[in-house]
Amino acid sequence: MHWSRDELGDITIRRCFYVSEFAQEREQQDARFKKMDQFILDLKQEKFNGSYDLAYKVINHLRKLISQTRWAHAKELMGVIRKEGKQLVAAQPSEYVIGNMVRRVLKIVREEYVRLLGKSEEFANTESLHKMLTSAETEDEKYMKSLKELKTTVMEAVSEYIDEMDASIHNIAAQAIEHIHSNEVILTIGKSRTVEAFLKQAAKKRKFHVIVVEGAPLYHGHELAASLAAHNIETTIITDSAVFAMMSRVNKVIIGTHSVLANGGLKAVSGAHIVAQAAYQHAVPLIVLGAMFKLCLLHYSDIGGSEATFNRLASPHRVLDYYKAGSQDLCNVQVYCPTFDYVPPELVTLFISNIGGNAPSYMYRLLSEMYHPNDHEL
Amino acid sequence: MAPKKKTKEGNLQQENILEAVVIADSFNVRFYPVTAKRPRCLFPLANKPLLSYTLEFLARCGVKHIFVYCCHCAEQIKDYLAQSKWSKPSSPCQVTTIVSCDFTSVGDVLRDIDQKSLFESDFLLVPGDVVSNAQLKDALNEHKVRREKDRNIPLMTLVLHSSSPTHQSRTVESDIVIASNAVTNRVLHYHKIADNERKVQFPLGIFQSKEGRIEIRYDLSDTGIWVCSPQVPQLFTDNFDYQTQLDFIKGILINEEFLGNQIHMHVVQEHYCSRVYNFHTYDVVSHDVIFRWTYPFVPEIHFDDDYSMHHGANGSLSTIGYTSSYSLLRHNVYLHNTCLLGQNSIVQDNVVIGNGSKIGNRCYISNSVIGDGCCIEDDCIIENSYLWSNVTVKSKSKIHSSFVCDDVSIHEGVVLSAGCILCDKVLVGPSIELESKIIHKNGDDKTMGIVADKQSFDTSLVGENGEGYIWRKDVDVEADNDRALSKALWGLSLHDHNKQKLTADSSEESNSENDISSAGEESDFQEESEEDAFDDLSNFEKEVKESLQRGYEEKVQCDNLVLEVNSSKYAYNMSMRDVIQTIAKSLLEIAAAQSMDATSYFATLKEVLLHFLPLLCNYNKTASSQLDYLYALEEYAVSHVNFANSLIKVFMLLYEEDVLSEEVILHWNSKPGNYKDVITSQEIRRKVEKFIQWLVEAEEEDSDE
Repeated sequence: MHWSRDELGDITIRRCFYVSEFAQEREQQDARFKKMDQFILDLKQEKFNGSYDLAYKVINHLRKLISQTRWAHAKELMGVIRKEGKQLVAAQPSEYVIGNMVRRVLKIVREEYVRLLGKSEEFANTESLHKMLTSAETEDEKYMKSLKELKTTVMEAVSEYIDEMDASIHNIAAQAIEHIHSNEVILTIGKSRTVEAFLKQAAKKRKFHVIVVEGAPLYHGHELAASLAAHNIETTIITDSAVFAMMSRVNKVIIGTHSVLANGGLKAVSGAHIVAQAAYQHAVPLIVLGAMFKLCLLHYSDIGGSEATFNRLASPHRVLDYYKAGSQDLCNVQVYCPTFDYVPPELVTLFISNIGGNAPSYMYRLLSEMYHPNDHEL
Repeated sequence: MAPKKKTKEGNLQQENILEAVVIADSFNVRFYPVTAKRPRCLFPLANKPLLSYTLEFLARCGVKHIFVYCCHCAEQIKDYLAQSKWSKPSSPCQVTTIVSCDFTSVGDVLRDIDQKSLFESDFLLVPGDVVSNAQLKDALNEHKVRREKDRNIPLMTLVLHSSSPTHQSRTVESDIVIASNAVTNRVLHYHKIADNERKVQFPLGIFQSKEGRIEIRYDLSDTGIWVCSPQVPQLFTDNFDYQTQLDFIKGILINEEFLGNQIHMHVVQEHYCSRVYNFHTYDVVSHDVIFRWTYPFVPEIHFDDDYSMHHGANGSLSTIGYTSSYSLLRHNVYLHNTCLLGQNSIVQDNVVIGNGSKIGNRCYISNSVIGDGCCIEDDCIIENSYLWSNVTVKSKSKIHSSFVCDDVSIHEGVVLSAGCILCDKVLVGPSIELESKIIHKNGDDKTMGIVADKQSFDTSLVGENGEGYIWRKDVDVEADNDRALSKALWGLSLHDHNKQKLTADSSEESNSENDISSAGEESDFQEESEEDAFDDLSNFEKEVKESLQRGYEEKVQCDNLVLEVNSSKYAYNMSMRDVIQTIAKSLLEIAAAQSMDATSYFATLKEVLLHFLPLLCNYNKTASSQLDYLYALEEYAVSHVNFANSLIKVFMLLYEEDVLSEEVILHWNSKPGNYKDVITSQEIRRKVEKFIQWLVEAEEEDSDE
């Protein structure tokens, strides 16, 4: 075959162009990786403000990952998300919200893939013997079809989910009127943004009395009480030790939570277990507020053995000053400062999320709707 | 045009970026011989290198560029940094190492900074052994605000940590008292309390200033962290005799009036901040890490990624390994996921067990840190001890309060107790008991010769299969000031030290002859108003005493000795009074050293005094100098009963030899000093009553005639 001179030149130029493009792309990729590592660093240094902020940051990070990395089909994308997700989870193992967000995004990818193939969503979720036998594609081929629209639809679905998260606190607060009645006495512990919004929403229509348990040693209760009092809600602060004595007057206990475990138990601020026990003794209903993204797949038995992932033992300086603790007469005293309490599901009456109220025993069902069983292990 | 623009941009950038200098060398030998082949900042603290705590602390404070100055074992530090996360692109800050073996002090480092003119804005100066979770934001902002008010005067901010006076983290080495202005936090006086010191003098001037309240605080410990203005390195260059941080602080405070520099302080109260500068603080800080005071720098949170980075096969940027991990169990027990515990082994409170370590059956471990790859066989007991990497402990050994470095082997039935230190690669045992011994294995040690074959090990000390030498502290490596502290090498906090001091005092009272030097130093200190001069004075005293001692032994002519004493006097810029007192004391000490018992004491003293008679006459020409001499004798007598008893004979001798005149003695008698030690000045007067009476009578007789 004969190549004219011009054509040859053209080919070399084109190759050069590819090379430079490749280099550029690599540079971009490097810069991107650096940004992602920065996010992991932020996670490790606890640069986030509450679990909603954390969830929001994680899902935004994953959205960027989906749009910026190259992938051929859904399976590869899921691999990328999984890999990144593992690192994120490892950076803050006690923040279950991170794992929840990763699983949620994986579920969205699965759903969108199945929807684009023209099958019903439920079909994707259920693993039946019948389906396994009749299914034409094997496990390996699953999610391997390259679909052009997948990226856009996944991005849309993720954005939709972010909107849903945005609205969750309002959706929860909107249910306040149904639960708080006039002249009731409500008890809460520590500070939860959801509880704060919930009470303020109820205060718009009704008059009631709030007792805030201060929640030593962090004393976030003080902040909540100040905020409520500024909102013209009748507020009383009590110490943690006064909870049982006060419980007989209380109509309802409303608390927030760090996360909800698969069995309906809570990982909540330390002191919550005392409050729940006291409420149980006095047959006072205990209502837990928490958005759906706080619901996670873990059971207490999975993590009870190694406390490292369940509880966070912070520096004891809030309990006892290092100034005093190091002096000779106290140096053999062990000081602990656990951040969380486990509240068993028997003590919880009702769980109110952005999609409505549920009993703790119903959590397993919600979980199976939110996450795909294949994603339980990242 | 172009370069000008560039520097301007550089300036702008530097205003925003916070930079820090880490001095990864201590310039002392507190950890010798452990530090013979390993820098202090790479000591494992709860199984992570000490330097990683310091760097992580700075990164958390928002420092973007860290200069690490290394000197001793610089290669090791460089290698560590090269393979750690700090040299990866994902590192939160840039780390630059600067190596030079020429640095011998902190002063040299700062002079080098000035030479390179590294900083144009404020920077942090941090020793490479700080463990802290504090946020220096406040300190930096305070410093910035002060600098905005006046560009030149606020020189630096000392970061201090408050800890109660009986705090276990306080040691004799960092026993400080600070006078400051309570409103402006300006440091007015900084005093490091010396070993035997019981009184601290403050310059009167600090109480006379009209602005604000003055606080004198003894509940602070120095963290070694400085927020420095860019002028600080320049000042080190200007004053080339500044060696340590202490020199600098003192220099600034003394010259503050005419240079106009000020030092401020910032007290860290809520957070943790400590240094590891001797074995005791290593012990305390390790415990604090295990007790989680340093949260989030605790064993189960892996801020230090170098381990997995090192071992994981990676090439891509995003692979930060998260594989190695500890789990925290009740009672502050941290077990690495790969460690193995044998049957019926008990791991009590506050224990860290590292990667791949194996613990045999029926062991008991409490309050200890066990490093990576250790192998501990059956029936061992380990308490209050630190085992570094790859230590092998054979069965039925007991380790209490000891410090065991890398690759040490301990054979069957060895008992280590009360502060044993086994350096790298030492072998001990079997069946030997060691107490408070330091065993090392440095082949190039001078005292032991170059060849380190098996024959040269003392098997009676290190056991039949042992390999290692006992370390003696009097080997010339340790400097003078360290020798004094060597007794506090292990497990002795300030509190213990005070206790010991008290017991020492009581024994001193009952047996006053034994402790001449320490009592003498103390009484001298009372005379001296400025403690800076105190150093000079003690040096001067030493020198004079040496020359007199030599003079007595070699029977040197007194004229020559006078010349020698005078030259010392000018060298140290001493007053005549100091010279007289020093001579008085030195002569008495020489005599005391020569005589064995109380009966022969005066005989020796007389001999000494007669030998030095020309010298005494030379210095005691005037009445005032004679009076000084008398007071010096009195001062010595109050603490030495022996001498007080023979004082009357001494007076008689000196009177007869015309060293002391009658009027001066009578004048002295009428004005008792207020010395009080073993006996009071009053009792001294009573002891010489007869002599005085005799003098008075003689005088009366004279006048009668």
